[in-house]
Amino acid sequence: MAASMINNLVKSFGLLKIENPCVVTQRFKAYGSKFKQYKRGSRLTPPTSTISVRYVNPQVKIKKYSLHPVRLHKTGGRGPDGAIAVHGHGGGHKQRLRQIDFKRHGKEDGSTLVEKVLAVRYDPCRTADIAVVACGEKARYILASENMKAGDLIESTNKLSGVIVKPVDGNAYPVGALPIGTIVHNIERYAGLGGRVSRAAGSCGQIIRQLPEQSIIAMPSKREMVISVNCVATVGRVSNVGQAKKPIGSAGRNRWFGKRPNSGYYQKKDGYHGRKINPPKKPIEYDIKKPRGKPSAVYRLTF
Amino acid sequence: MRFSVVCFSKPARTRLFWYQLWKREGIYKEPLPQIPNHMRKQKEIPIIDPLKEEAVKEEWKPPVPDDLQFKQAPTVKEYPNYNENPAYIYIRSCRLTEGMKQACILTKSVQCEGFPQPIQSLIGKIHIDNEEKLLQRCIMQSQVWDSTHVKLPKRGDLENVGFKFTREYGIPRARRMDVFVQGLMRLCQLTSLQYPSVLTDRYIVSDSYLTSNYLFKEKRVSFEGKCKYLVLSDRPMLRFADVDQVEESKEHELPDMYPISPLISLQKRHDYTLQNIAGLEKDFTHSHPHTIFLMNTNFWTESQRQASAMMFAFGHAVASAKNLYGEDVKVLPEPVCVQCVNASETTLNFTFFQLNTLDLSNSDGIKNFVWFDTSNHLFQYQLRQPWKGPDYLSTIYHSFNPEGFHKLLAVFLANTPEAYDQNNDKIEAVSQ
Repeated sequence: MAASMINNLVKSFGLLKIENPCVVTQRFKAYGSKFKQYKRGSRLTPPTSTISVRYVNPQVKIKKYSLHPVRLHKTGGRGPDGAIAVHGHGGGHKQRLRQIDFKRHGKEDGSTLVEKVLAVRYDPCRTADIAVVACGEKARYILASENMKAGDLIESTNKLSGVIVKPVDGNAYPVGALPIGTIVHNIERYAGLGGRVSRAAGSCGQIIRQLPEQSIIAMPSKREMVISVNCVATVGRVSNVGQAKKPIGSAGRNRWFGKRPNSGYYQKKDGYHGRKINPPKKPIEYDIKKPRGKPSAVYRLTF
Repeated sequence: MRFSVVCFSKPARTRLFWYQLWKREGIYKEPLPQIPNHMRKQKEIPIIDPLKEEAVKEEWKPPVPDDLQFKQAPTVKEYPNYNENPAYIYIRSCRLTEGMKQACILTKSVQCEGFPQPIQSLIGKIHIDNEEKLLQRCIMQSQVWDSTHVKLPKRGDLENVGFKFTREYGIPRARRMDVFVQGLMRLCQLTSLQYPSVLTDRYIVSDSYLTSNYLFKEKRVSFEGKCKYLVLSDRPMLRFADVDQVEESKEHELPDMYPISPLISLQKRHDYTLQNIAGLEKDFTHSHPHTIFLMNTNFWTESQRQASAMMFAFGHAVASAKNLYGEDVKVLPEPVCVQCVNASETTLNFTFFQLNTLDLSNSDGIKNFVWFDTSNHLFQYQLRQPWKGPDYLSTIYHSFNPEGFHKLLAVFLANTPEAYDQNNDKIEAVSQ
């Protein structure tokens, strides 16, 4: 119905043009009937391929990378729709965002990338420290590992050579090249999409088993995950170890970090006093070939 | 068909009602195209399928030109100084990450410490009357006695992090530095009774402009910027290093900063000019750069400050060498020498540069020379710390040391004929 209406409008004026109108109908239907189901955090999130008209000034380079920190606005825990998404956020000291590169890949021709660590710095937006590394005429921020310091040379590759390498702290390799039992951080779920797992201060995962095309890794939560052999991970623990055990000092200092007061003392369910202990969960398997989620389509309205 | 309250009334329950209703209302007619008012007078209006063709639209020009605030910014190719090949441009705010080492690679020069030999001999031999008193007055004039009263930036102290300072009013940092350097230059010019060529043979330019360029390993590097004061003289500077010393530099090996390129901290741009200007654009009797005065309002390390001073001295030397010996000169027949005074609030740093070659494509052959003399504290100060007691309620100035001023006198009076004549006479008298 809606599609025919739009097509009629389009025919009548001869001015408005929408590419791929079949997607438009999906979107109308979705938001018309099932709007209440699309809650935040639930699985029934709205489809990613909706209309999104972007008014882009060609003068401004959006993708330009720089070491200069970017201005960051406080959300107060609210999402883009204005509703509370995360509880307990609000206030705090002003922060600026450092654009951190989680992709520790090699060069385009497949050779290893050697970089020099210029400095290890504090970052207000995360618990871990960050490192400024440079190679050639390019410099970038990465996550600092535990023993990283200024003046070190670090390597990163994303190509399997078929030989098990000797892991060095701070270097990045594909998971299939590492021996069993090595401690890793900044682990990719899908090959080529950047590290996602274990990026908090002091956290680490461990390689448990190697299969011919997959490798099994224990996440910081002790749950296992199955990923492709080509996924890149950095050797060692994340920097700023023992950050969680440092006393904050006062309730006021906690507010400086943008955390609001919460009630109660969190206690883990340990099976004492007849509490139920659930059996360990199955390992999460991430598909090798097709990563979850589609790239969002862009439709242009022209007059 | 719309479902309304009528459908749920009593007659709606009969089958005939639904039959008649569906016959009457169950038709959807496509609405006719709505023609805008201004197009109604036209007889034939072409209707286009937008999925297959594109509508032809006439360009509309506004009768009155648009306001400037809505004007689109020009693209890079529309800039007046656009070039196809990009160049690496050094400006004053470029911070060299590796400091003096990186600057030595960029300029192909040998690093030495201290003063060069001809200027070292002048230190401590030139004096002015009431030297300490005048110097202390100069410091007090810049720090305390100046009449500017401006809101100063917020202050914090690492010794007491949570302390809340009351907002302060006074002399801003840049102003303090400017007054201090002007006073020092005036004190240096007081020697004109003994050495009159300080006034006759010199010409001081403030906020002088610099552009010059050279090829570093087949890549164009250009300088753009201003220095606070530039002292020009009517004759070129005498060479700092001997001919033998220059020939020995063939065996010197330049430092390496693998895997980083030394061009990392420079800007890569398409808009630049290929002029050579060091202070003055036209020909002038006093056109040889003598000393450059730079000021630092930043919080860089001493090595990075010295590197910026060295790059500016190199830029001035390149511009004057190209004006003297032509654009395509490689090995200079006579070296070009430039001095630089890099001043901060309390300290003076000196750099001396001697340009021997402009052949920077390789790291072989003759090299240039640079001398660094860092951290000559004339005085030091401690800002107020009220939590310590009544003695710390105002800023404290301490550890006065006039040694750096003696060095500045030697730098300022370098290349004056009277100073060297007097020096030689003294040496001869001692030898006899």
